Amino acid sequence: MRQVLEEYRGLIKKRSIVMVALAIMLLSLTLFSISIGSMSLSLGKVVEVLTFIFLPSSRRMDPSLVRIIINLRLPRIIMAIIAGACLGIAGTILQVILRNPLASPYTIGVTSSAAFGAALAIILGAGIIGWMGKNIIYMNPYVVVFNAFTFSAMCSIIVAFLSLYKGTSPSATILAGIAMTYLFSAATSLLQYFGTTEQIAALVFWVFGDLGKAEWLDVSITSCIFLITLPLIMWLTGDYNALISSDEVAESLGVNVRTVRIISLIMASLLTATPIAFIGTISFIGLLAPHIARLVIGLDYRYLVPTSALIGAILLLAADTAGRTVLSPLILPVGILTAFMGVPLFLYLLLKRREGYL
Amino acid sequence: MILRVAGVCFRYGSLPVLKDVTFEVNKGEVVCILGPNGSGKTTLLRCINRLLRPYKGSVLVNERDVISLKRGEIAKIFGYVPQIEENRFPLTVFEAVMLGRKPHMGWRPSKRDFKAVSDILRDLDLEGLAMRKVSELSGGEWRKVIMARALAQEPEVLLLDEPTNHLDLKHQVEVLSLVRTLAKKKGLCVIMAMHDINLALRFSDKVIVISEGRIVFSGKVSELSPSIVERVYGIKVEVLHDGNGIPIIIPAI
Repeated sequence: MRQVLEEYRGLIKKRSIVMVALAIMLLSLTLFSISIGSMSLSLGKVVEVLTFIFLPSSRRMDPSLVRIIINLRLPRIIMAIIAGACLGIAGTILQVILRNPLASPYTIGVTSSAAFGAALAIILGAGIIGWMGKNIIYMNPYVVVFNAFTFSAMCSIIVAFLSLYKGTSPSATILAGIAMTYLFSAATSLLQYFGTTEQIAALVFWVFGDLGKAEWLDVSITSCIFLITLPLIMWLTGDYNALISSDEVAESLGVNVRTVRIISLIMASLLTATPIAFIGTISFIGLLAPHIARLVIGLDYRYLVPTSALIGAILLLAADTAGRTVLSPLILPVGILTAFMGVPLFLYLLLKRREGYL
Repeated sequence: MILRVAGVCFRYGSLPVLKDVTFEVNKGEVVCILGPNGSGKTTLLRCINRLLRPYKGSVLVNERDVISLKRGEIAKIFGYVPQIEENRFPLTVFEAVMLGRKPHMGWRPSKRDFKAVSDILRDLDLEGLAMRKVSELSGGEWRKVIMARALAQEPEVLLLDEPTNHLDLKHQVEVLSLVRTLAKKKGLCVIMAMHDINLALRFSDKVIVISEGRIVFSGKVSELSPSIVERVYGIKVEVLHDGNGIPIIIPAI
């Protein structure tokens, strides 16, 4: 008996080490990412400027350097971290509540409905919070953001209701999500058909997720959503563990399956809709991060949720850092990079793993 | 501790499955439910712990109606071992059994949870497998893990659906002896749906035979007559006696 507990403690210790290692990796990647750009800095300089920013002292610092870091690099990098974490967690909880290793924010239609909201604003000029006129040059970005968010929220409410009607079975939820995805993609195509070339170009540009759009306000809103949903999701992790096997088993263990599923669906939608509304669609992070996290940490959701947040953040920041360096000075939108980097990684996992439950 | 199933009726859509099922189980009793495929054994077990809701009748535990309880409270009373649990996942055996502590546990396992799990692993002789992944176990080992999970709930009533499915002879006897010992030692009520009549009779105190959703026999093991078995299963049987008053029923060929 003593030995079993010893072994279990060993497992927990190993998991903590993995999580600390990931956190260190994220931190070093962050510092590296701050250092690169049109004005390349040494890592020492980066640390120096950061201490100057966060711990004001009497030391003098080149104001243009500080401005570059505060206004250009930090919002982008912090947004990459937060958005990656949001998408990683959203994918993880969707995969368990839908009991499907292929589930991701795409599965429940959140992404295509966000694109439709954006199209409505960009092409028809119709915004939920005000009309913005047909001239995209005077476009107010927040009209697009609000539209994208509203439509993805609406889509997930529809999906939640449809699945509730069918007793929240995973397959009903997935089918409802797929139906919504097609509906909103068709509606977006219809709008594109009537749009001008410039409008379509603007829409396409919006759809490529691009972290360059991120401002401090966007970063703060997304962080707020992240910090509000995280405790609730962590509270539900015990229920997720029970849900791995089947609804029947989870219920017999005392989990209120229906409630957990609806709450999680809403949390996942919020975690996806918010970053996507600000930076556009980001593919693959929500699918890939949970798989890598399961591989390195195991299936206990109390560890899996924070780990997939860390991995989502690392993946998105790494993709964006690569997007800023490979064709420098040209910056590639991160949404394209995540797909290019994600597919080979995903195929590798697919071929390497033996276990059915990914 | 007394479990009373009173007039339970259940239907899937318009198809009636259980018709006015009534029986009682006392503390420390092992009751087996026999009946042909599709007679409603599984549905009955699922109605008892409210995985399904009967449209008529009630299930009472110490005179408290199960309908009035929360899911978490029900999980402290009933441990349930489903007939098949297909989905195997790479959770360690220790963690899988820890899932049974869910109704008692806060966010993280306490000392008591750890002790309960390691005691059960010892009782079921699963200690050697504790750190193995569930997805790597044999069918029999997996059944035992599911049983261990149900026991970790520290239930008052254990509902077992075909507990000996997929088990070889040794494991069948092992699991059923354990169930019987626990029933006697801890005063558990055990209700198990079984196909193997002789195995069931050997380890039970009472037998309930259901056919097409109705109870056709309910009584002591020694009182089960071959005519009931013949009527319910629709084949001729012979009865031998093992000397302890437990009938051995074999098909007459």
